[in-house]
Order: sequence, then structure tokens, then C-alpha cells
Amino acid sequence: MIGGTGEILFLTCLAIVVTIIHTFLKQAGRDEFAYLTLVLGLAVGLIEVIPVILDLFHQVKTVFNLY
Amino acid sequence: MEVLFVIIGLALVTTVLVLFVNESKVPGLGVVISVFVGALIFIQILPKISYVISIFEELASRASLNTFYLATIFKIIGISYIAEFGAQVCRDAGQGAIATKVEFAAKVLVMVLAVPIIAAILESVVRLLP
Repeated sequence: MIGGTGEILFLTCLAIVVTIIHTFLKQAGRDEFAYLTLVLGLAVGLIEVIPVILDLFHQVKTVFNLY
Repeated sequence: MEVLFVIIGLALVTTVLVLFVNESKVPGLGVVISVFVGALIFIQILPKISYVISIFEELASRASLNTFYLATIFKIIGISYIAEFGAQVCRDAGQGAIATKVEFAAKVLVMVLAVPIIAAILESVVRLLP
């Protein structure tokens, strides 16, 4: 079991929820809010992922003695 | 060996999920998920690489090799791995131009690391010649 499997499911759920909210807002005629939900979902996903990438870079640095 | 099964399972599940997410309104999240899984797999496999590297270092120290050359080789391998990771992500997202630039930067950095060794070889050749 790898740590971080739950985050993949979280990101997928995020995509589903954002799509639902987007469709809902678009039906209600609020196009600008619909677009904002897309941006927000993408931002939340990136915030979730960036620490992992940073961790990867640090580990590669320590393993290969890149300084 | 167990790590391999874990990685393959993770990759299969993620492939299906990314296909699904790409059909939704936020296809950017699909790229984010694939980057995330790539980082996870890389982090899983890094301890094994570090094991191999430690054995190589031990062999080099036994052969009383200059550690500078070995360190340079490891740095080059690390740069290529990371650059490949970044370039592959860019290419998956359809940005082939950025991927090519990332590879170009990695090649230049590898060249910068390799220049001292080339200089050392030339110097020894010059010393051999009368």
C-alpha cells in the first residue's frame, strides 16, 4: 500500500464534483461562477499535488547527490 | 518484487481514472493526476536506486577509483531522470515544444558536468604525447 492512493481518488472526486457544480451553474445562467469553479478545482488539485513533487525533487537530490 | 505489483495496480487504476477525468469539464485535473502518480511511482522506486548507487560507490572505493568521476556520473543520471519526468509530463499534456526545451536544458547541464572529465582525458592524452 502506497501512501497517497487516497489522494488520487480525492482528485477524481474533485473532478466529478467540479463538473456537476459547473453544469448546475451553467444551467442557472451564471457562466462566470461556472468558470470560477473550474479554476478553483484546478487550483485545489495543484495545491494537493505540488508538495509531492517537491518531495520527489528533494529525494532525487539526496539520492544522486545533486546540489 | 512486491513494489512492482503495487506500481502496476496503481498505474492501471489511475489510467482508467484519468480517462474518466479527461471526459469531464476539467481535463487539466487529468494531467495533475498523472503527474501525481508519476511522482508517487518515482518515490517508490528511488530507495532501490539508492541501494544500487551505494553498492557502486563501495565497488569504486575498493578499486580506489577517483570519486569525482563516479559522482559526476550519478549526477548525470539524476538529471536525466528528472528531465525525462518533466518532459514526459509536458508531452502528455500536448506541449511538445516545452518538452523539447526541457530536454535541451538537461542536455546542456549534462554537458557542463561532463566537460571537466573531457578536459581531464585531453590532459592525459597531451601528457602521453612527447
